[in-house]
Amino acid sequence: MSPLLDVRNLRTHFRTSDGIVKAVDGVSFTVDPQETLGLIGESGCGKSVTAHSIMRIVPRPGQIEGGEIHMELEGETVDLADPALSGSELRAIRGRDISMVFQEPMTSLSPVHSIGNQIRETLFLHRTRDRKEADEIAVDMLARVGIANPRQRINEYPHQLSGGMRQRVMIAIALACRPRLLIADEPTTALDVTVQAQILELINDLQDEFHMAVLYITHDLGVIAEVCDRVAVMYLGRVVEYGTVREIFYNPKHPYTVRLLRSIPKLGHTKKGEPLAAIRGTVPSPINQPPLCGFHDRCEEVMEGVCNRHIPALAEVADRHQVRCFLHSDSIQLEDGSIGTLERAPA
Amino acid sequence: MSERAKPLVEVRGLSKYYPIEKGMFRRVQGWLKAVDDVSFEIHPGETLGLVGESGSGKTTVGRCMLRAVDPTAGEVWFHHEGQSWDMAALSQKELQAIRPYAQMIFQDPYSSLDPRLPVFDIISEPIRTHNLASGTDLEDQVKHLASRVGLNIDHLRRYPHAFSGGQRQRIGIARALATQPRLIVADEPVSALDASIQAQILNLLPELQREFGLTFLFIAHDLSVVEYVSDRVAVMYVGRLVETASTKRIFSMPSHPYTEALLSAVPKSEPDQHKERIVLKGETANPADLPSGCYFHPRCHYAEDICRNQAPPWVEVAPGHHAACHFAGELTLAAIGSTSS
Repeated sequence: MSPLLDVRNLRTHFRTSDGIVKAVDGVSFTVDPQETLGLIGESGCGKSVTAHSIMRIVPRPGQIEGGEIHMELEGETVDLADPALSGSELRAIRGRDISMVFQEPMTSLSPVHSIGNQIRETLFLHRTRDRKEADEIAVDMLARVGIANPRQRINEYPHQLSGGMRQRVMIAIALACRPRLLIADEPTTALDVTVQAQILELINDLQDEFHMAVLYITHDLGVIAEVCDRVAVMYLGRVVEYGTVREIFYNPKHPYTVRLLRSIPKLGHTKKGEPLAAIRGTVPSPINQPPLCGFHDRCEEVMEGVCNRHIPALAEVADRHQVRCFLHSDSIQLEDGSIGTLERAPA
Repeated sequence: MSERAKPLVEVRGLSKYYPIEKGMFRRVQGWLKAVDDVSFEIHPGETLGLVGESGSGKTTVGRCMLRAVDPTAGEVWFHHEGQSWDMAALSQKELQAIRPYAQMIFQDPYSSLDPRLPVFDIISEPIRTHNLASGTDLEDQVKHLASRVGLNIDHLRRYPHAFSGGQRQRIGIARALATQPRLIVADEPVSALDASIQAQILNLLPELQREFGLTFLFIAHDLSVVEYVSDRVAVMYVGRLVETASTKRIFSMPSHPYTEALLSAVPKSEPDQHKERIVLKGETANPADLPSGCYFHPRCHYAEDICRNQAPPWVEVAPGHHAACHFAGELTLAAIGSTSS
């Protein structure tokens, strides 16, 4: 099966007055039809910029510097990273084939337009020009996302709804044109845990119903365990580990993933007073990062002269499981993106 | 648990109502009951976890305890070295004498530090305000605190903006410890931090608790964090306590349907974990327009007529385990399976 979305060596950089921030620096992954891929990492790791690059909504001074984003569209493939793609071509894809749900349901809806108005907007762009038909679809979508009295709600404004309800409306807008890929950027982070459970279940149900793939961006390992088929772990602009959700949780290889999994208390499993495996230090400043393993100065297993000299390449360690770490492979990622081999000093 | 010494803090019938005003003359139309008749106690050296969803009143409870806001009704007894004070009844002047004993750690490490003060001044401010030390003595104390919480003492002349979120939270902790308090109200101290940094702070707090003999009210919405740090847990729902018990007990044998739902809503910690999910219907009750009887009844799977008509009593289900439910102790509720044994 060919993937629905194929991101290859994506590089999105921000040229600031302080230097270059390589927010996304050589990220590759694929999303298969109807699958859920989780993109996990801490703040500043580049997971949201990756999503923004796919949607082509990277804010200035950010720019896609290289790489390809192949999206399968009814038999033909479009490279979303292609700078030659026109605004109107992009708008025809956004909202119809790929949609996005954002973290803040408070700020991502327009406060001065009614809910119905905001759902109709995407429908008018992609599905129908008929007001009556659009209204019918809007009411149907609101009912599907679990909003009671949709006919009445359609004339209400976002401020009249709770956070959970607004996120449901966002999902209704995103799915109104039945996209094949939904990008969900921390859709439940601002919500309470019982509401989060409702929204996760809703996305899961709609995914089955609409046969869509989901790229799920989160910092919450629990959410990953709950909804994802495969996971890409990001650190400082690069994917450091990539595999099925079971491989990542039960057979993690990268020291960052290993520590991250052990750093969170688990309900019913972690004993009080048992120290958590915290990761020492903090994420380094992303400005003008030298070409080496981004995790080396926080890593307990760092190899001097290796990890602080080269960038490890993403290498296969098991079936459908890749790791970017010199503990597991000798592949170096060279400046031009090609792969070299590490020469280790004899022990 | 056997009879223990006097609690450090006793909260009795604590309430905080905010007026809902309407019209040109701002006539009071009704009351928003942010906190409604809440009672609990915290023993010396203990960590009480206070959980609830946004708007449940947990932050307001913490603020009322420290008199950061004035409660509408109720008492907050603070017992220390044979003396007792009702924090809720003290005048501002009397409060000044108590304040050093009760301090707060805030959620947002960005907005809770004055950006115009160097870190040394931030940490030393409470000491200077209460005239606890000066000169080289002050300097030594601040350096000791800073290094104890894991800050580099060469960086004390820097301003907050030069520090990361985790480092800033350490500054906030050092400031809270500066007056050698007995009680610390920690309001979501780790929820703004990334996982790896959160673990650093979660490891630090119990160390400090042992070393400085601290008692914590730990307010949080993340149940795994609360389970990890707390000795006992209190659960709030729209301004009221619905259940309190020891941590072990509340997570293994919840007695209130809301606690059950809250536990079941936590995402599983690994992909193969089997989890029975109770997805609650509807939304949290509006504290300005409360339902009759038990506030939770419109969302409760076990609700019967009595729940719609009568407020539930505060029942002792087992020693030290209380729940506000008509059927407390009668329902068989799902818990967190402690599978890894």
